[in-house]
Amino acid sequence: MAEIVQQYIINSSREVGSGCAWTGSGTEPQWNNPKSMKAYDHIARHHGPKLTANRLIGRAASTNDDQGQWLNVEDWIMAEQLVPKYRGEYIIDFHRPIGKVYHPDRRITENVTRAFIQRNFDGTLNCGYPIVDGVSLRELNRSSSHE
Amino acid sequence: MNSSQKLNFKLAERFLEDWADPPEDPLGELSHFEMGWRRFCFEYNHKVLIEIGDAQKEVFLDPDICMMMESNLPKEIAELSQGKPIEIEFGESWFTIILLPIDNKINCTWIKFGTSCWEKQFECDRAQVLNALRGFLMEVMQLAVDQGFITAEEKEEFISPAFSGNFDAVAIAHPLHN
Repeated sequence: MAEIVQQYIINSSREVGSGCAWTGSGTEPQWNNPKSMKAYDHIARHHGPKLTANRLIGRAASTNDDQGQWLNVEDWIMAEQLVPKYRGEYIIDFHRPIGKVYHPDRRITENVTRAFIQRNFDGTLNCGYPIVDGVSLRELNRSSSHE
Repeated sequence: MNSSQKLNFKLAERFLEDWADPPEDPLGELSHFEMGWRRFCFEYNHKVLIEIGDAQKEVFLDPDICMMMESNLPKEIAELSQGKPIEIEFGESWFTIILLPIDNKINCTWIKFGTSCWEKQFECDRAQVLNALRGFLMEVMQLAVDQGFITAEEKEEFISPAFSGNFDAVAIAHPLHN
């Protein structure tokens, strides 16, 4: 059973995301469709399963940041459903392999079970990618709200 | 804490490496502006240098600045000008900048997360920070207009919250573009 292992809530005054009233621009995204550009654009384009390894290896080397890649597009829909309905940052542990991580030194960690998810102010997922164990959000076990 | 530091976003050179798939909208969910902005960031990608005091980080129009605008930067700038704290998230580059206005200063906290985490604190001049954010917003949006990805009307509608209803009496910088 997947679980939220870390969270940093930026705004707890308004619930956003699937199942909530749509407050963003235009029409509500198709939350249950992994091809929804509105809900999952950067996840699909920058971390989707169809990206070639060379692209992720190159990006990891150039940015000096780990680059995660999802194995299954359905998992980012599950992530959207799992993380709290607030703008914020979350780490989910799916307790099963969900992707791989390309490191700047060209190592690859296979079968990672965790993902970083960032929910935008309108509930869409600004970004989300598989991560290795040991990644921490800025302030462990602490929530905040500015509004 | 470092005192009287400056915050800047600097548009740097073109970036031609191909890291991601091009933006597509198979479900027809996005407006002309939303799609045009994404296409601009992808097809006309640039490096962007973020500087606060002596700290700096190189990011990219696609995905970092693209996402910053999708998080409604103009509205965030408006809130900052009204004395409210804001957070600018760069999740694809593993850091966040928190801006907390106090009188005529803004406390900036640069937070790096990931497998190694750190925080750096800076004290900036409020008018300088607002001017830098507005100037960068105007610069990149005007570039998207000049390159034909969005219309001038779309740009004006999007950026207007950043330039209206502010109480900070900051001189607004409008970079010139031909």
